Parts: sequence; structure tokens; C-alpha cells
Amino acid sequence: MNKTSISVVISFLVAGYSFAGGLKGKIKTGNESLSNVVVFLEPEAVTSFSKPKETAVMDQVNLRFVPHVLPVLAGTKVIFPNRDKIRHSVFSVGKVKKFDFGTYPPGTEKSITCDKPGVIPILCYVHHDMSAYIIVLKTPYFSLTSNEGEYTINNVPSGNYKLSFWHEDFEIETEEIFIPEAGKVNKNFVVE
Amino acid sequence: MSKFIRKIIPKPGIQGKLTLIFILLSTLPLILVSIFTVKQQINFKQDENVREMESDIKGLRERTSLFLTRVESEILLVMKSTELKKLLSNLKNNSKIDDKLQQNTEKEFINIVTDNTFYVKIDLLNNRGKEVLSVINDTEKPYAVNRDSLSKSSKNYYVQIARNLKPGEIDLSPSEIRIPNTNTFAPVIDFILPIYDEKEKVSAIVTTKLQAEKLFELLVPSYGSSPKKISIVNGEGYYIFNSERKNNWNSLFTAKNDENLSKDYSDEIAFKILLGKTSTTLYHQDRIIQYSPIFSGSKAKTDRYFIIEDADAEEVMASIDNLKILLIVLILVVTFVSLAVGYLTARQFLKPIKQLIKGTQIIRSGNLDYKLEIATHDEIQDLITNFNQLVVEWKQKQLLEKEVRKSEKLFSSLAQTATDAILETDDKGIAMVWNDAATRIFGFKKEEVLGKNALSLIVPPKYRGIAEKQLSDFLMPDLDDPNGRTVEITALRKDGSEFPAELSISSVSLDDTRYATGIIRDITQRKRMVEEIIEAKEKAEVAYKLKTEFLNQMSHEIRTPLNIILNFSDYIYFDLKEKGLLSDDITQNLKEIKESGDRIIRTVELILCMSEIQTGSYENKPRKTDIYTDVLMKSFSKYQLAAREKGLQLNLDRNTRNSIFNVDPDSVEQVFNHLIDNAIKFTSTGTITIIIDEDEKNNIIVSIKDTGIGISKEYLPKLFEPFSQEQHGLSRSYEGNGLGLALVKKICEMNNVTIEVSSTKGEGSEVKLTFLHDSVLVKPENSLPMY
Repeated sequence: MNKTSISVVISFLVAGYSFAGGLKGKIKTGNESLSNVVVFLEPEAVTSFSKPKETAVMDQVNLRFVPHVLPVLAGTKVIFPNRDKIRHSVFSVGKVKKFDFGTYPPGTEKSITCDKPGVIPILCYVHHDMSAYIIVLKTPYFSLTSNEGEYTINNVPSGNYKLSFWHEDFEIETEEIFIPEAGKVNKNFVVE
Repeated sequence: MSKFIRKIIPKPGIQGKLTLIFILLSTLPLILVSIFTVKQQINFKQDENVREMESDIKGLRERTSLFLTRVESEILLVMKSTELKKLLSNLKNNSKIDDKLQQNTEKEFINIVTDNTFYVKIDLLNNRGKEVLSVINDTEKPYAVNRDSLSKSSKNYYVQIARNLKPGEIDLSPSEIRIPNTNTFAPVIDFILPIYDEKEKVSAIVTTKLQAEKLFELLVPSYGSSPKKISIVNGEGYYIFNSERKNNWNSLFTAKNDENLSKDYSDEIAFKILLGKTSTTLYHQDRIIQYSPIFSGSKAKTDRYFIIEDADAEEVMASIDNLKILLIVLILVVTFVSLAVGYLTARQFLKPIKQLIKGTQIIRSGNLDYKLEIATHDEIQDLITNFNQLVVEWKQKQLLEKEVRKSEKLFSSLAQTATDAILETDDKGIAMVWNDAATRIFGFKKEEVLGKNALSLIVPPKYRGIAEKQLSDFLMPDLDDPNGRTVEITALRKDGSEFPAELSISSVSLDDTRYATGIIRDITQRKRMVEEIIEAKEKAEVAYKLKTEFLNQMSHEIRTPLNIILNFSDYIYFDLKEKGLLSDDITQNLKEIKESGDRIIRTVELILCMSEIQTGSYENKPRKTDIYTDVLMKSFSKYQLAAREKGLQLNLDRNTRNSIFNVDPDSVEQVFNHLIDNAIKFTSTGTITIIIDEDEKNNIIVSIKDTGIGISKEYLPKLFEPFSQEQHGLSRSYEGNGLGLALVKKICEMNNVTIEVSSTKGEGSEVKLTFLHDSVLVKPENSLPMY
């Protein structure tokens, strides 16, 4: 599985609601499309979301975390299956979620539940080049840009939202946006 | 069986105990000292080995540190180049990096890694962890990664590390990578060096990956055949470097559980090592393990390595084994020596005691002459001395007892065989001893007397009171009178008859009681005999007197008329000669008358002389006499004529001047006269030689030697018997009465002259008189019977 497939799943689920609208677009930096950008919508009205039943997955394959960036709704359980040939020692020293799985061998998995919204940088003690981020969000309306820099957020109830972009190399950018009852809002960005 | 054991194991006598004490006193402390000393040596050796191992690890750490400092300085040198400064400045401004600049920098890094195979990769990251350039040290040739192929995502790990470092610090942390362009993994040491700008903010990060195994291959010295081996494990215990085997990094660790510490050591030991924070020594079974962590950057257990030095304790301690053997040998030697010393000393101590035991056995077996000769100069010596003294006293006592028994037996036998009565009483007169003779003499049987008052039995009643008093008086003095006294008493027989007896009484004290021993002899017979003898003696004395008177009378009566006859025959001869009437016949007749007369006178004189000697009336008057001049010369002159008449030669030789002796000259002259006369008488032709000489004892020897008829061997012993001549009866050819030589002998005896005769029949005789020099003159004895 890859990140693309995840976003496909989300799009499909959101599409179930007929009264909801959506958001899509493309993000570039300079002339290059920017992948691994988290795009998310936070409703301006206080809204509470039911605890997500699905688990998110942070794979370790070929000495890499897959995906490199994993956006989840707060409360989501993230599992860390070691699908590599060698063991890993995944940890995080960030403020949002501090953990250290210790070393665990291939074929096993560890997990965390991401309660607190924020960015959880994921590292491996054994393999210093490995790096990933879990972006814990207060909203289920988010998307991750593909290699082509494209994103889609479906089934967003109509209303006023705060639209945010997160990328490891850039500051978070925010702006106000209205999502209509039907139809997708197209919004492209260029980050510098 | 138990006998056999007892035979082998001696009973723990004094020897055993002493030996035990010796062992306790000498062996144990010596053994303890030996053990302690060798133990110290062992500990020291052990410590030395451990120290050596510690210093090995320390050395390795230092070498690693030194090496990494070199790497750091190389990288820093590159970073300080103007090219890179420009590049860094570009980075800061986020401006596009010039290709040329990039290439030059890459070249610098390639220079570093060239020929240093332990470099895997050098990356230059920007302050956000993005790769700016990357140099890979391929097996073929180092090269720079194409700018487009650089990793897109940031390397957050390094950013975090760099954030926590202070300027001047570097971070070393173990990691693993896939060797670029291969499917091979390898453990690497990440060398993280942040680059700071002038505001001391991290402007870039250089990460250098050093292949751990190759690095340690370089740094770990070879110990050759040493029992030590060094290995490096990662935080999970997997071997990064193992001096004994080379890793195959194709699949890294997961599938290689046999390359984990816990395979070589127990889980417990492996766990201990992997938790180690400082250099530590561990003893595990037969191994010595020295370990120390290095590169412990973070808390994560993967983020550190451990240097482990492992040595086979047995091999490391091989020298200790020698010490142990030494210890055992030492203990054995000490034990043996002190056992031997203990045994010998104890034996030495016991030697006199054993001798004493043996001595007592010998003495008990009856050899009382055995004497213990032991010189120890201690208490045992005293014991031995006392023991010897005891034996001597015992022996004396035994001898005494034996003597007493012997004495008792002898006394008993004496008492029983004595012909005299033996009676022993105490001071009250109670009889203790009564022998058979007493029974015979007195008629009382033993049982009638013993235990009763003897005085009342054997003393006539009229003397009893006196006897009792005399006995008590006799026993009164405290002094024993063993010689006693002899008295004549009147004794009483059982039948009431009395008899004269001689009592010898003596006293003796025994255990405060005084005893009297009496020997009683019946002297009835003796008294009678004495009376008879006295009577006989009186008769004999009368007879003797009569005989002497008779002889004197007779000789006088014979001599007087004979002298008249001779005188008158001389007168007749001279008258006839004067008148010229003397015919040959008459001369011859007168001569025979004279000769016969002389013979009679001589015989009478001899008889008288002999008689005088025998009756003791002969007077021998010794005085200082020169035997030669006063005596011998006279005799010689006297017989000169007679010899010449017979046609014999008479010689006198004087061979000594020392001839003065205490003798009666008249008697001695008589002896010489006799002997010379005899020599002339028995010699028909030849020589008579008289020699006076002195022997070595200053005795005077007078020898009279003739060439006469000699004396037969058979007759020689009888020579000096009175009236003896070799030829008896009327047929004898030589006149003489045989009294001469007997008289000679008597006179010689009186004057202490010995006389010897030697003769060969037909050749001659020699008479040798020896005047004994220092002799006491003997008075003539009246011991020979009268003739």
C-alpha cells in the first residue's frame, strides 16, 4: 500500500455523502510539484468528531518509513509494522508524542495512538537516514499531496473552514475558505 | 582385619600426640602462610592479567578516539576551505549552489575517502537535514552522487543531534546502512559534525559514515597466539567486529542469532555486558571478560558499541596454574618436612622412654645387671638415674634376700649337722632353735623345748637362778656380742643326770629384741682325755729327763776312758819312738787304736750334738762372722793334710769379698768340716774344690765339689735322714754312723742356710750351701721325736 491508495480510500468514503462538497488542487514549489504536503480543513464552528475506528499504518520498508508523512485524525491508532529485512528501533522525541519502541525484529509491529494534535517526527535509532512524520489533526478533512503535488478532500460538509498546509521544509500556511454543499473547490498553491 | 589396621596405624601414643602437636604447630601455620603467599601471588597475577586486559581496552578506546580526531580534523580542514565557506554561505542564503563550487567540494571529500576503505559515505546536509552533497566510497572508486539523485526528504535525526551539540563537539553514534549500490548492509559509525556560522548557529551538518568492522580491523591490534580476543558488539549484542570471524553483512543481524553475545555467553552475562556503563571485569566460568561501552551517545541501546575482551581464564592463568602446582608442592613439601621433623623429634623425645620401657622389660626378665645408659640432660635423665638406682637397690635387696635364705639354709644345715647342741633363746630364755644334737645330748625333743623356757629344762635347779641372771646380764648391754664368750657349765639331761658342758654364748639384736645363741658341747669325754694326756705328759717328761741324763752320763763315761786310752796310746807311741822300739807293726797297731778311738769320740760327739739339738739344749749363737776368713779358711787348713795324705788335691777359690753373715761360726765350721771330711772320705782320686761365691741376691754360696763315688739317684732324697748310708749293714765300705749329714742339715736350718746336693754316680758330688742374705734366724725347735 502506498499513500496514494490511502487518499483514494478517503475520497471514496467522503463521496458517500450527497450534501457535502470538496476541495482539490495542486501544490508546487517553484516549478516543481510538491509532494508530502498535508492539506487539511478545520471547521470554524466547534465540531467534535467521533473516534476513528480505522488504524493508520507507518510501514518500515527498505530502511525507509512509508509513508514519509502520515496525516491522521487525533485518536487514530497508528501501527508500525516492520516489513523490512532488518530490525528497527523507532522512536520520537517530539513534544507531541514521545515514544521509543526499542528494537523490534522484522515481521513484528508496534503501535501508538495519536491523541494530541501536532507533528510527531518519527526516527529510527538504528538507521539515521530514516525519517517520517505523523501529522495529528483535529479534523478528518485532510489530504496528502501526491508525487504530482495533487490533493483532494471529499465529503466536507458545507461551511467555513480554515485551510492549512503542512510540509516538513516549510512553515504552516493558513487561510479561510468556504466549502459549498456540492461541488469541489479547486485551490492550487505555490509555496516558496 | 582390625588387627591389621591397628598394626598399620599406630595407637596415638605420646609419639602420635607429639606429631599431631607438631603438625598443628608447624605444618598448619606453614601451610597457611604458603597458601596465603601463593594466593597473593595468584591474585596479583590475576590482577596483572586483568589490568593488562583493562589497558588493552583503554588502548583501543584511545586509538579509536585518536583516529576519529584525525577524521574530524580532516573534515574540518575541508570545511575551512574557502570553496566550502562559499558553499555554506550560499546554503544560508538559500541561493542556488554553483555547479563548480559543488564539484570542488565533492572533490575535497573524495580526497578524504580515497584509499580509506572504512569510509562509506560523507554527506553534507543543510541545517534542515537535506542532503547538499553526498560522496560515496564505492569499492571501485569514490564518487559524488548526482545532485538530482540526492535524498529529497530531510534527515531529521542529524538535525536533532546537531541541535543538542555545542560548538566543537561531535557525535559518534552507531548506525546501519545499506552499502550504496549493493544489497549489502553494514554497521557504520555515524560521525556527526555540525558546522556553525559566525553566530554559532548550525549552518550545515557533515555526516561521515565509517564502516565499523573495517575501522576496528584497523584499530584492534592483533594479539597473535594470545588467548585474548577482542570483539565489538552493538547495543543488542551482535558482533560488529570479531577477531575470530569475519561477518557476512548480507543480511545484517536479524537472521544471525549465532552472532550474538548470548550465543557465546549466557543471557545473563550478555545482559550484564550490554548494560555496562563503565569498564568492567567479569568472571564467567572459565573466562575472563573485560568490557567497556563506547560511542554511547543516547539512551537507546542501539546507540552504543561495546568493546569486549575475552580470554580463556585457564590460558591467561596458565602461569597461575604453575603457582597452584607450586602451592601444592610447597604444601606437600612443608607437610612432609614438618611431618618428618615432627616424627623424628617426637621419636627423639620418646627414644629414652622407649629405652626405658625396653630396659624395664629386660630387668623384669631378670637381668638386674642391665643399666640404662641414656644421656638426655633433662627430666628423663633424672628418671633414668632414679630408675637405675632403684634397680641397683632392688638387686642389692635380692642379693641380700638370697644371702639371707642361703644363710638360713646354711645355718639350719649347720645347726642340724653340728655335733654340739645349738640353742637360741630370746632375752626371757624362751627357746627358738633346738637342733638334733641338742636332742641327742639333752634327750629333749625339739617340740618339748621350742617356745618354752630353756633354762628351766637344761640347767640344774641349783644353778637356775644364777643362769637366768647371767643370761639377762649378758643380754643387758645394747651392744651385740657376736664373738660371745665360752664358759664351762653344768648341764641337766632329761633323765636328770648332770654333765659338764662347754657353753659358747653370743648375742644378737633383731628388731629390738635381743637373742642369745648358745652352743653347748658335752665335754665329759674331753675332760677325761685331758686328764689322761696330762698324766702321759708328766710320764714322758720324766722319761725324757732320764734319757738325757743317761746320754750325758754315757758320753761322759765313754769319752773320759776313751780319752785316757788315746792319750796313753799316744804316750806309748812317743815313748817307744823315743826309745827306738817302735816297729812298723806297733806303729800300725797304735795308729789303728788312735783312729778307732777318734771314731768313737766323733760318734759320741755327734750323738751328743744331735741329742742337744733334739732336746733343745743346743746353743746356736749367731753373730757377725766372715764366712771365708773365720770359718772356711779354718776348715780348709784343718783338712789340707788329710787330703794330701790321701793323695787328693783340696782347692779353695774365693770369688767374692762380701762374705760377712750373721751365723754361729762354730756350728757353721762343724758343717764345713763334715762336708769336707765326707768329700775326702768318698773320694779316692782327684780334686776337691771349695768355691765361695755370691749370687745376684747377695746370698753367699759355698760349693764343695768332689770327684768321688757320687750318690745314686735313689739315695739322694734320703741323704739327710739320720743313720743313713747308701750301703747298710756290715758290708759297707765306708765307716760312719750316718748322723753327720742329718746334723749338717739341722745346723744349716738353724743358721738359715739351705743345702742342696747334686751328684752323678761314679763321677762325683757337689754340695751347695746358700747363706740366705736377709733371713731371720730360727731358734732350734723341740719338735722332733727323740731317738
